[in-house]
Amino acid sequence: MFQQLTFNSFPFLLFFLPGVYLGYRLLLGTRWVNLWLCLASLYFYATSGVYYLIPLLFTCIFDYFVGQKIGPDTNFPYKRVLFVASVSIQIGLLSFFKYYDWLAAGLQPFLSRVGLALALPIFPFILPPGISFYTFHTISYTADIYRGRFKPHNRLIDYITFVTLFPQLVAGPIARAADLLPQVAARRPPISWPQWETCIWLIAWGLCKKIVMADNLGRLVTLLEPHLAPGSVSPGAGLLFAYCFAGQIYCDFSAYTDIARGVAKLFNIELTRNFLTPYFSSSPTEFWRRWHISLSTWLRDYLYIPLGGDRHGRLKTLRNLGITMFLGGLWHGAGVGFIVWGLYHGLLLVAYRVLLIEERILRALGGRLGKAVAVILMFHLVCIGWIFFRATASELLPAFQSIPLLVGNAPDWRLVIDIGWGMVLFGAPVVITEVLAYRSDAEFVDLYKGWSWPVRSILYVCIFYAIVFFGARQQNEFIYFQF
Amino acid sequence: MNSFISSFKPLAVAALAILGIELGVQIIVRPNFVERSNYLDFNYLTNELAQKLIIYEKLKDFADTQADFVQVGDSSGFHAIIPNLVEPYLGGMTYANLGCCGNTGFSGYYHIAKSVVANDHKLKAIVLYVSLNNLPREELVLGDKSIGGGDRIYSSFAAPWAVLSPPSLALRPVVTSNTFSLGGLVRPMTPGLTVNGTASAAMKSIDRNRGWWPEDDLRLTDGNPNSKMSVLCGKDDLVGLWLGAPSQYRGLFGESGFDPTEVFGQFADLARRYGAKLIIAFQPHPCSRLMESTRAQLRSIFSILQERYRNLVVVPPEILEHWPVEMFASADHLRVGYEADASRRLGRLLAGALGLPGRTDDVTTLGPEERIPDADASTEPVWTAERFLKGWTTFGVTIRTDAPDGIEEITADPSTASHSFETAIQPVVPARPYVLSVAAKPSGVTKIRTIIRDRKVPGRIGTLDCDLAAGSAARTLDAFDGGIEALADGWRRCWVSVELCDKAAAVGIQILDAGVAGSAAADGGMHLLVRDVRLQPGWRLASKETPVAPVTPFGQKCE
Repeated sequence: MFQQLTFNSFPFLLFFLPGVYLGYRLLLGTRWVNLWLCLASLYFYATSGVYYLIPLLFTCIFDYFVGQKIGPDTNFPYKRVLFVASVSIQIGLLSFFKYYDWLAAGLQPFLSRVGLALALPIFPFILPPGISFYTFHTISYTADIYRGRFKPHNRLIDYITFVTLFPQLVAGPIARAADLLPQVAARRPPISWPQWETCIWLIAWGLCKKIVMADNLGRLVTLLEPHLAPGSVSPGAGLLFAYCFAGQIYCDFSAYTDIARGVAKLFNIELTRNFLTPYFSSSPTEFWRRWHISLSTWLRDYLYIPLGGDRHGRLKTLRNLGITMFLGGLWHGAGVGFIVWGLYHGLLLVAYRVLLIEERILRALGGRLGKAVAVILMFHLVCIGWIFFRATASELLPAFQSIPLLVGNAPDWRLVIDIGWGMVLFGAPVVITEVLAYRSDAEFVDLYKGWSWPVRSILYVCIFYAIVFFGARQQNEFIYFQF
Repeated sequence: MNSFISSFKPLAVAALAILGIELGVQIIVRPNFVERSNYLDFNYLTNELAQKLIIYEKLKDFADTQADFVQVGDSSGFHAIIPNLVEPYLGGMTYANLGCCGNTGFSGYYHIAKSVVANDHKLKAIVLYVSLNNLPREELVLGDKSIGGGDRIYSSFAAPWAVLSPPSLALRPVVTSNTFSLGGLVRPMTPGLTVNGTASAAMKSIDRNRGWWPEDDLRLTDGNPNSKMSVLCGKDDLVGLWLGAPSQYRGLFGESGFDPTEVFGQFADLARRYGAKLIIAFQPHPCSRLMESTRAQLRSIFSILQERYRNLVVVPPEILEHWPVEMFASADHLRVGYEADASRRLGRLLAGALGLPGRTDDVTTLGPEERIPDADASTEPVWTAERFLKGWTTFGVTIRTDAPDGIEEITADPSTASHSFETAIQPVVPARPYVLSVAAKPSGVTKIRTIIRDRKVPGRIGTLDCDLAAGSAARTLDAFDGGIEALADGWRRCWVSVELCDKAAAVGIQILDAGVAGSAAADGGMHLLVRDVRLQPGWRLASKETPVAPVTPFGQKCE
């Protein structure tokens, strides 16, 4: 019996990961160790579909050779042309897989209406998993070489291992060559016992967040969908929908990152942090410093700053913010919802900058109260964004209509009690752990080291029984796999 | 060494605590491998799928079975084979029916068999009982994942990691029920596994009848354009088979490999590992002829396999056994009442395959004196409706009493959500089956539910949902049988039979489609014409639509 390997599957946890680790330990210190990791990563990826290896390996190998040509030590005369061509090809490939069918299907009626009888072919490709992530990995490599910040690496196998490293291949964190490639290329000692413990903790907590919290909150989102059908809108259902999805996407994505970090640590590789209590942000700028950090910093360094950043006056800064967030939304997928979500966040960034919203709240209400109000406001603004992100076209309008309906209309109390109790059951653990983390200006997983061993033991027992009794049994994919 | 101890102390202590708890649960609860599986979801605010409950219940009942014969396969056998009626032909050997559903796929059948036979030390044969319509083809191999098909069955019961399932998983129903309802504070607690009526009835029958559940079939009037039966065999009366051709492509990981020979071969291999036979048994078919190419393909597959596996037997050897189309509710399912014939047929075929002494008499668990004839027009009713206002209780309907010819005109009140009328009948002789029949004509209202129940709580209740416009009907709950027939002038007769266990009963009619957009009569109202409501003793209403069939005992006597 063969099945796709995902972090929350038994074959991954019981066979693949121990097997890969065993091989790694046997080969540690030899030149074969990265070949082993590379083959394991390619196998991991191929379980989603063998054909997906073609664009992945093309992207890897093509950019490796581009890097060799455009490095500072070569006299290649067309470095700029080659770099632009490389980025264009990578973005083109990403766009083709991700947006072509969507665009073609959308354009066809328009072309017919203007009298162009042009039949755009539709290719029913299934999106290669993680293409958005590995394309950004390789672009960061060539861009850093082109800008002289990084020297091309001379060992192809190290390079392919850097791009395809299985913990971060399908859903990040988005790795920079400058951060990850030196770690991959270096001779790594085996990890220490305390590091082992951290690995197990990250993986256990990540699994609990995914299986118990994210998947069950996702079920609440699904249960709310019938209440957002046109013509049968329940007052406030859109708000509940947004709250539940806010919890689901955070638990899901941060769980993936925790497991990815824990697994990578087994091979003595540190992946970048991706979240830092994002729902405690008091402004959009702060939110993007705390949410999907590897994407926001990538967009900042490779898009916003090259566009001019905030160096050319206020208007251009706002334009650059808008473009960056629009493309950030588009990066998530083909769909109007993602684009509107990106633009909405761009608009929030602009509005907070122009209207000084956070500063005004803090000034009016003072320190702690002002901060609390700003955080609550920002959380709700983020939740509104999640409606664009998650709702289907037919649910979008009812979701927004349901919120003002709360004024003067009693909500469906049965629904509120059912969903509310579900949110308490599956959302309270994450709220409590986030509060603890925020107070320490850290992630919850970082607090582990400060606890006594009995507390840690109790936590492990709780995680185990939470998964046994409340874990979702369907093996749900991580949301960010689709990106 | 210190860092090793300090690093692993929390984990070691947690592991010891978990081990202690799990040992305690194992000793106290003693769950079998099905109860401590991950198969059911126990999701918040979501009923378990009926099909998964059925598979779970069957596996739970038979987890430690020592049956000589274990049947797996699709729903044709689930509904057709009653172990009690097969066993008398097997010389004292025992039979368990683990057949369920075609969409679990051959992989699902295989893993169900594999899970059960591993503990069955008496196993003589695995019976793969399928309809000829469900031969292996690609979409029927892995089954439907979303309804707990092959992958899920494998992962929950047969995969290597299934042995690691902790005993405390058996406590999930209690823990989730209490937690999700906050001890009954936020919503009623769910007793047991399900609140789904159909699944409850199925599980009850599975427990009582060792895996069998009577067909919950759809009935159609003659000439109904939706009737599959009318188009199934075509003018040549040929079985419309789809036996998948072997695919040429095999992926790097074997994900696309498909070969019907291999599919059957895996079952033969499994049986051989336990020193047992594999008996591939085909359900009788309503079409009389099998396409020669298909017969040749099947024969070729079986002859290849029989060379490889001496333990393989195919029954009937001719592959196709034709039974009259009137005996079928659908292409795969026999009408209720014909299970006895199907079970006896299988008993004889198995006895023949194993070389057991033949037995030719018809085994039945009902003695002749207990046989109750079918009701027909000449059967004296025990009750007929007079004018409905006399003794009838109405909910959301008004009844016009001055209509001629004993016809009642029922009008649904648009301002209410529920529309029904019912009356009590007593005395009736308990522990007897009764047929409730109603002649009705649509006039706006097109969908009705006829209900017959006894006074006991919980007692017997049988319902039949009749679509008067489409000419179709489906029975549910304890209804033994039901049907719909076309009468003159657009009238239909809907009937449903139930064995009543009390001296008093109630009959009722519920209007199902009042308020549905576009379904009003010409005057804008929702009316229904009703006449000739009667209760007669009998298992079914015999007419040209429902030819006389042998009575299949439910095996569940009134207590």
